[in-house]
Amino acid sequence: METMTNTTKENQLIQSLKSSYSSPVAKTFMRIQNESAARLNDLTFPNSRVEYWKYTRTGQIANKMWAFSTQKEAEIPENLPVSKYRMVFVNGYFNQEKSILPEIEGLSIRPFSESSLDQKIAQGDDDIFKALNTAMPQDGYIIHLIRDVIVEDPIQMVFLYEGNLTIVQPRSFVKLESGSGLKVSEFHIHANGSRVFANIHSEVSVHNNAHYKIDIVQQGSEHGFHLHETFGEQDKNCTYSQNTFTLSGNWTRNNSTIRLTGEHSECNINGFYIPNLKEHIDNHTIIDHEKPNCESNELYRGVLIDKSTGVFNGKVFVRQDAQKTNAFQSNGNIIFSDTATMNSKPELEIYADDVKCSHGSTTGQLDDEAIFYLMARGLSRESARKLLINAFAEDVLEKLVNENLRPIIEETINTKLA
Amino acid sequence: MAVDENEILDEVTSSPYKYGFTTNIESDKAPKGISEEIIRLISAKKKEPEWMLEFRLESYRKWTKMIEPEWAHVDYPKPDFQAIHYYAAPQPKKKLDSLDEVDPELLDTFNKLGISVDEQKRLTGVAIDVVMDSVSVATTFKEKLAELGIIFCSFSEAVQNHPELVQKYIGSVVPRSDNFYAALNSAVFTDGSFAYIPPGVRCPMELSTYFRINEANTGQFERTLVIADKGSYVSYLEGCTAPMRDENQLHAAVVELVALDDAEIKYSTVQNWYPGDEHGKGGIYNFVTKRGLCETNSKISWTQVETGSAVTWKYPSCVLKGDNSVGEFYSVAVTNNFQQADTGTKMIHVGKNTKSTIISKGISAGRSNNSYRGLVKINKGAENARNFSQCDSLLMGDRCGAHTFPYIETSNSSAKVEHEATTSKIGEDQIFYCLQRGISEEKAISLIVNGYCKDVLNKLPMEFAVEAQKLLAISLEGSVG
Repeated sequence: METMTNTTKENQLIQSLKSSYSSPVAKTFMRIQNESAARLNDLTFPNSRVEYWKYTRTGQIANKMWAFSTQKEAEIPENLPVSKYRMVFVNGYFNQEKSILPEIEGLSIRPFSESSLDQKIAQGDDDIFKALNTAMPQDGYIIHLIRDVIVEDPIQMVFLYEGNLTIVQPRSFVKLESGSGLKVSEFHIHANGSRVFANIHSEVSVHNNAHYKIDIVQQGSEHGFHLHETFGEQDKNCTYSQNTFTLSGNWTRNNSTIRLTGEHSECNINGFYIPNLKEHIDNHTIIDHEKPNCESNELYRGVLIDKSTGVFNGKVFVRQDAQKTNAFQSNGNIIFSDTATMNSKPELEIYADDVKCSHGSTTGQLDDEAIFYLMARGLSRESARKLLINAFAEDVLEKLVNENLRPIIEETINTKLA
Repeated sequence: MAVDENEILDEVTSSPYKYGFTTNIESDKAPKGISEEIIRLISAKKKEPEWMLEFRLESYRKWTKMIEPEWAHVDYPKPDFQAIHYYAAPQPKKKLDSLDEVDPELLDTFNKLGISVDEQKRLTGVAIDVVMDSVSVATTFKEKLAELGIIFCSFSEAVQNHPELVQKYIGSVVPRSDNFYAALNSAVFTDGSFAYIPPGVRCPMELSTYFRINEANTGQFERTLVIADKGSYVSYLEGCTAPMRDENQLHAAVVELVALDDAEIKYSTVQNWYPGDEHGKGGIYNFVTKRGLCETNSKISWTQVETGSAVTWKYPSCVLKGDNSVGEFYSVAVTNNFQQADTGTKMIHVGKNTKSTIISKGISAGRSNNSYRGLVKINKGAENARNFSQCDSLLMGDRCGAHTFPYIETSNSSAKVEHEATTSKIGEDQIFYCLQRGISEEKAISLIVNGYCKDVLNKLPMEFAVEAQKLLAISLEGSVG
């Protein structure tokens, strides 16, 4: 009986989405799209009995009648750092006027709807969120960089979300050919008072000797939902670096899955989160070492204030062939109040013997002695706390690819601590 | 080097299980299968009071509604619960007061096990309760303990002689419907050990239980209940072996510890059930629920050396209910050949100023998989709670796996929780260093492994530490990573 109502609930939602969906999709992508659309009928929203969703509830998303928006205009916030190149997306539609596209030989950059994307990297078709995005994708950026082209200046990607009960499903794909290099700064900004479910899907394929670096800044809203799926695939001798800063948002979930399929590659995934009030932030990472001699580093740091909840789940696989793997993972949390909760689950699954793998997880509070030390030197308790928290965040901040992002992040940290 | 490694690994995989004999003791078995009738039969055979039967039946009804857990990182054919004898008692059974009355075949068994009850009794002063195929066959030193008011006897005797204690505490730490195997055990458990230490008494000797599965097609479902009353102290040892058989046998035990105010319980296990042969055939399924409840200022310490069993699924836990209580978990888990172990602990911090320490050392060799799975939960009210966890894994050979699945849930801002884990193999430089100083490769490895496990072995009582070290040496004879 229960399943009956569930299915109808999901069916109703899918019907609503289909009737409001109007984004153009590249012909080349339609086969992939149709496959996912067919799968949708069998999928349900995960409940907390599903291990992957143990600490994050999806009921709040499942029980709302989301629809696509037709609003394609919005103002870019003033405090956004200036950038040489910029792509702006409003509610999943590319905004040409506000964008400044680079014109570099060997770089193809365009919105999803104008691309001829014909592949996907994400594996498995058992996840309703992945299937929804693939079945009804909207504009993200599609970048193809040919051999040995290196783009020096970071490209700024601005995703703006506005509306009430609006769903937005940006789809991005980046392909870096051998020896190329790219830096990206991504902003996801939910307008104040909006109620948007952003279901973002990004894929990155990094080939031999290529280097990909991305910073992601997430600013949610009081009623919004933000789900960001990232899939990376790395070939030989390449690097993939990703830094995610979750500054606010009622409900945020980041899933990052990186596969190391070639030797001597390096993968760095870092994150910082500072939820307050009743905000919920969940970071899930999977790093899959399939080949030998690779290295992965993970550093996630969080400060939890008020009644917020944080989740970190980091999984490192080391396959049988992946000898000489070095994998390091660290998750540190500071809890500010007795009503905040942190659930941390660092996991290792290792099938090769000649490896160095470690993970560490700590949860605690600021050191009283450190505060005392600073107060004895004339700082107020407040500024001592701020100083220490900023130092705690600095370990992640110093990894920023684009230093221009620093002010906007530090500003949020200091406002939330006040 | 590669050839050497293979030779040595072969040697490891072929090192025999030396406890794999059967004893020809006639036994009284209940028919195969599980049903309310069988449970009534077990209860009747043991002349149990009505409330005990009710407890079993209620558990059975709950069990029938439960499904086998699938979440552990192990893979095995599910046991057929209707193909097991739920009751098998060595015959003839009569009341035993001294070892002289024990069946000589049985005594012979203990001698083969290397734990001559007789000898231990005289030399080490360890009080032992021996459980064979679910039934307690011998308890030593009972009288001496009784002088101090300590009750140490088989579970069935406790049900007969101390029903008020059993009724009060059974199921208080591990509820009947706690999990699939705990419910099964609550329905069909046949015997086990019971210990009660009165207030303020420091138990002068180690209490020990030895478990042995002997009959084919039997499951062992024993139940242990240890109650340390206010201000008392007890150290409890547990050891287990089984014969070599082709089929998988099920062992599903429940252990409940209750440490009242200011009490301390030290519980040590050396688990050496038959692990199956080098092709992964046979071996014991070891699905055990162990949990302790700590009241104010009390302490429970679990120490385990796990070398046996085909599949292990075991999480000795502490519920730190009282303020200032302490929970500890020290574990060495060794897997070889096709063994699979998913083991760890749960530390639930409820009271203020509670502390817990987790030291887990996993060693995997052959084609085995060894997982640490643990939960550290700090509740809202657990002010100044403190946890330190360290999980290290050592890999020997490139066909084995070592995994870590820690769950850390913190809801208190004054709590400090630390977790760290490392995975590595024995360094070639370490071995080289030893070789250079004239220590053979075999010895070097034994040295390194023992050093690696020292933190845990140090926590074992003397008699067990020696046995545990020997076991480690047998399990890993000549392994090179």
